[in-house]
Amino acid sequence: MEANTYSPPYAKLLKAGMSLLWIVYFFSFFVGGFLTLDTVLGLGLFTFIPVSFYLEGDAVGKLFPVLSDQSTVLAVDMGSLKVDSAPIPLRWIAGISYFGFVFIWIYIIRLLHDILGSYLVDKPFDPMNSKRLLKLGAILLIGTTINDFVLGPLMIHQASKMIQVEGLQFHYLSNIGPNITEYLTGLFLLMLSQIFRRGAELQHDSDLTV
Amino acid sequence: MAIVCTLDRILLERGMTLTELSERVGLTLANLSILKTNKAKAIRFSTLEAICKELGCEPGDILKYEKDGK
Repeated sequence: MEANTYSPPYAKLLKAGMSLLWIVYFFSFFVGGFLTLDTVLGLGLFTFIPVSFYLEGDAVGKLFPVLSDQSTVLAVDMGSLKVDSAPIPLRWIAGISYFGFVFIWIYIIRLLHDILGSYLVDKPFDPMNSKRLLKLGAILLIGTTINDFVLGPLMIHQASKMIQVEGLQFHYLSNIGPNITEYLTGLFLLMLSQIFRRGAELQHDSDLTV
Repeated sequence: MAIVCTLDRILLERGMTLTELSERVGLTLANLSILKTNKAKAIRFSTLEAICKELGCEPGDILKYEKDGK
C-alpha cells in the first residue's frame, strides 16, 4: 500500500509560518493582559487612548496617559501640552477596546494557524476551513462596526470632556465613520468562505467517487 | 439509497476476497470498501469496466435498483 508521504509545495515555509503563529499566539496573551491593565490603570507605559484630534490647521494630536501623576499629555506635532487626567470612564472604554482587540487578535491567529494546518495535510477544502473563513469575515465586519459606531464615538465623547484648552479649538472627527477597506475585506472573506464551502462539497463527492 | 451495490454477493459466489479484487483491479481497498458498503456517491465507467472484467459479470450484476423502504 502506498504510504502517506504527501508534502505540499512550500511545506517548510508553511511549518515556519505555523510555528511563528504559535509564538505570536502565546505572546499575545501576555501582551494583551499588560496593555489592558496599562490602559485601565492609566499607567501609560506603552498604550495611549486611541482618540485623535485635529486642531485647526493640519496639526494632529493623540492622548497619552502618562506614568507618574496619571495626567494626560496631548501630543501634537508642535510639542506637547498637559491637560487634565484622563477620566476613568475613558480609560475603561479604551481598556475594554484593547482587551477586545487582543482577544479577537488571538482568536484570528488561532484560525489562521488551523487554516495553514489544513494545507499542510492536503485538506484545503475542509468544511471547517469554510467556517473559519466565515468567522474571520464576521469578526472583521462586526468588530469594525463596534469600533466605528460604538467604542470610537464613546471614547471621543468622554475625551471631549477633558479637552478644554483656552484659545484652541478642537475638531475631533477621527475614528468616526465606517472604514470601507475593512468592510470590503470582511465581505471578501464571506464570499471566499462560500467558495470554500462549495469546494468542500465537491471534495466530499470526489472522495466518495470510486 | 436507491442504487445498492451487491459486490459482496458476487465476491462470495466467485470465492474472491475484497483484497484480492483490489489487487487485480488496481483500486485501493479503501475505495472498494466504500463501494461495497454503499457509501459511494458515484462510480467511474473505467472502475465498473475493470471490476466486470475481473469478475466476469455485467454491471447489472453489481448494481441493483431498490425502491426506498425495501
